[in-house]
Amino acid sequence: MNPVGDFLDRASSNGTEAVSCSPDRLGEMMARIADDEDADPVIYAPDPDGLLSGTLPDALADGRTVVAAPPDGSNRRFADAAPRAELGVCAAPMGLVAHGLVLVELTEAKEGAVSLMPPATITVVQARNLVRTSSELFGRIHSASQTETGSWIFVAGPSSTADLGSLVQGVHGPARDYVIVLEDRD
Amino acid sequence: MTVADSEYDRRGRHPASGIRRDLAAEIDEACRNEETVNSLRGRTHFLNQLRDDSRRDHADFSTWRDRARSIKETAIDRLPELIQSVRNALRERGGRVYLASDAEDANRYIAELGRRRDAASAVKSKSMTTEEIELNEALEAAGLDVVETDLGEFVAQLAEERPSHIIGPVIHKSEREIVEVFREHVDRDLPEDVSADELTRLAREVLRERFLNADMGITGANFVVAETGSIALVTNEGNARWTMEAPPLHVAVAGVEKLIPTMEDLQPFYELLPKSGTGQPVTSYFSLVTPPVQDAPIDYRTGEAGTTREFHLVLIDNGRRGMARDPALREALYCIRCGACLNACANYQVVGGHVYGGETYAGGIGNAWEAGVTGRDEADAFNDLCTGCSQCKPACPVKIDIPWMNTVIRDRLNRDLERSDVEGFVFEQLIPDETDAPSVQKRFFAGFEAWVPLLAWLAPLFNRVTEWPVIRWLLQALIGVAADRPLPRIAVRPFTDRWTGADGADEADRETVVLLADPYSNYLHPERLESAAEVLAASGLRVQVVDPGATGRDALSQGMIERAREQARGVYETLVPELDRDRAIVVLEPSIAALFRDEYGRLLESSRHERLRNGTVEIGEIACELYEENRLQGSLEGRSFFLHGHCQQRAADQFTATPRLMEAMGGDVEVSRVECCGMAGSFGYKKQFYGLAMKVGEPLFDAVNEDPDREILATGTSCTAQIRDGTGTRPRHPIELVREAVEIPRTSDSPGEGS
Repeated sequence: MNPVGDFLDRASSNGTEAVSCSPDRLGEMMARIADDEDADPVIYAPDPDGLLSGTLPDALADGRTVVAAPPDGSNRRFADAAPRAELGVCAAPMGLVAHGLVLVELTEAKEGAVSLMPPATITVVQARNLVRTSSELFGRIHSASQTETGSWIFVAGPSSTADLGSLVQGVHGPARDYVIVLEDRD
Repeated sequence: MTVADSEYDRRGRHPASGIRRDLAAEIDEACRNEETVNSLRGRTHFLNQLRDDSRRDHADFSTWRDRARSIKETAIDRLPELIQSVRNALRERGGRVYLASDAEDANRYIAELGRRRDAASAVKSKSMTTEEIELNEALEAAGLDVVETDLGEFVAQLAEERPSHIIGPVIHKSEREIVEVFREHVDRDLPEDVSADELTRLAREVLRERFLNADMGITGANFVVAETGSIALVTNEGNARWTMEAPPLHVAVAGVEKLIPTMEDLQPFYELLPKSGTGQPVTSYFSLVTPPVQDAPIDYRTGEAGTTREFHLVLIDNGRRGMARDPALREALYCIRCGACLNACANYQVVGGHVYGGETYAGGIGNAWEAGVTGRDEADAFNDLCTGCSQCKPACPVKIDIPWMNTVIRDRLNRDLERSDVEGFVFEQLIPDETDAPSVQKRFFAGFEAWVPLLAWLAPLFNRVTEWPVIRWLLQALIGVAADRPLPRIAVRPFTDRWTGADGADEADRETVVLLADPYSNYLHPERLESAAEVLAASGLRVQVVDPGATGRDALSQGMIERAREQARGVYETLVPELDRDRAIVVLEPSIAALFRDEYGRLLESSRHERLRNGTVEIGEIACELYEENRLQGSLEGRSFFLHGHCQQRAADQFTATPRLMEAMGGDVEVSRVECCGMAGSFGYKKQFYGLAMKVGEPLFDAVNEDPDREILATGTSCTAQIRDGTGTRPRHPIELVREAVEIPRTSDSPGEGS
């Protein structure tokens, strides 16, 4: 029973490049991916826990333009950067082990655009927020919906299609999908 | 006067008359287009393989199916309540629900939304419901520029074609044909060998501009959660996300049947849809959005944030509430539009959804939809393409009995049909039926079971004259029996005449089984029944042979339900004394076993059907059981076989015993992976379908011809004829091999097909 290990295996079978790391290595992991992608500019969606805004600008500041989505950043700057962005970073409030996927919540922080517009995206999810099965996941969403209902995109790998005869990745969304699972602090 | 193909519109209709092209001509043209046939076959077979693999990998699949079915049944029962619930939920959130009575109502409402916002352009994600209401045409007429953003739909729109498949809109197009569309409409300088990656890059560039500049986004909805007003969209490309998120105005268009009560109810559908549709465990994206989404849209042209999002859910009735009240069509409302039934259908695999389809919907499930939302005339155009092979039934994630729906529609179409007085009089005398007037062709084939005992009296004459070209020409001209199809040869002495009868002396000491002398086996393949009787007797069983008369199989296949019901009752009355004695009813012909086990459930009282179903055993099943109990001994060592199972056996997962038996006896058995031979009873004998039946049979013919050293076996009467006609080989029934292996001397006259 290793939910993180199971998650990483299943995510990999979706075409996601998934890794786990301790919270203090998050910046390093994101920088490595940004370097591999040679990404500039980078856009990100500020998360309520401050995981990204506390880490990402410093970690990626090495000669890159890093733009926060509103409300931390300005609409105009985000609108200018987003269509050109080569990497988008956001946090996910939940992940589903059974299918190795993350839930991106659509809020005023523009997670939707950040996780859709660039050719590559990183989604960060905390290990403690992984749920095992879809029954458990929908059970939680159902319970939450009794008071307030949000909007989520379940993301399981890159955007893809086989409509043109062969499987192609990177249709209207990212061609490369990275997920970082933040291990729980003991 | 004939009309050139190019003059028909994208829905296959002549713009002036509105009349659809002739189905036989469409089939003929489709069968001759090898490029399309290869594309369709390749992709549907691939999707079937992925679906089967995906199901095998998930142990909970069956539980999810049961639950999904139950949720859909409940949701359709509660439709008015769920409509009110979603209205309330969205009103509280600032969204709006519009219940459109029909296509015109929906289109008027949506066009008005665009006009109020001064919208010039709209982006759309894939939605069959918007195809159904012809939304694009209506919006374009209102001055909006509408672009389809799903890549398949994008290609279809450029080519001015309608989607031919629910999830693969251009599944009928080869890669070469897709490149041609891009060369014609996007970039004339593209090389002919341009890759799918490059085409995708091009399409992305074109469409991203459209997303960023669109005033209005239009999506469908795979599911609508009544309690919260949330909509769920199951996608892979990301275009639906753009469509919902980029423009300030989002309109979701969904049939009322997409409503489900709660968020929790989504779970089985979330699991079932991708596995059944594309064979993926899950799709890349599952959007579960409760509109209006609270982040303000950004205008990427100016960098200005908009004020609020505007959301409208347009729920479409357009005949659906009528379908909900219709006991036959109601099941179609459970459909989650995964397309698995299309992929599984042998006829669809050859002709695709433009031929096997109506104005919007394709395949067997499409027939029910067209009957419900467009009208029975539209269903009439392609209803006969459902052969009842039943491959779609196990493929359907919500257990819709598509063949039965099509049988009911066929029955209704029969009642609608006008006929000439002469035709009516002649056939009413020969094949009386409560339904008003099936065609001459249908009556002829529906009557085979009733006619064949009479023909047996004239078998030598019948077998001879039906070889005369002039007779075949007349049969084709008058009744529609394909002249190119060899007719079955009728046995001079049916099995019931040869069988000397069970020895009653030791009845008390021996277990008795009933061997059903069904009309097909009895009159066309008596040698098979003879082998079955001898194998059963060699196992120590006392064999009682019963001629059930007409079983209803033929009547049912032609959509004559009342006649089939009457015959089913007759069969039950014949067999009930045997059932009272707890005797197993051993059935040789797989389509009759399927009839007893499955379709009789629709024709008989449930307690009677239960008794007959429980008492029915297929010959392969009982022979395997006897062998495993050491009551039957013999060897097939050193012999190799190619074994083709009947489609209905395979669909019901009842084709495991025969291969197991033959392997246990030491035979080397290669089981055919071809789902359906194409013949499907009378289907392949009809002049308008003969060519299609032979085309469908090609993969089986190739498999049969692949290894000439293997003995060819087939369990079904029609499969046997189809293999014979397509390859020149004469398949035998597995029970004949078993009989040889157990070395029982023949006791009755020498048999032989048509001897």
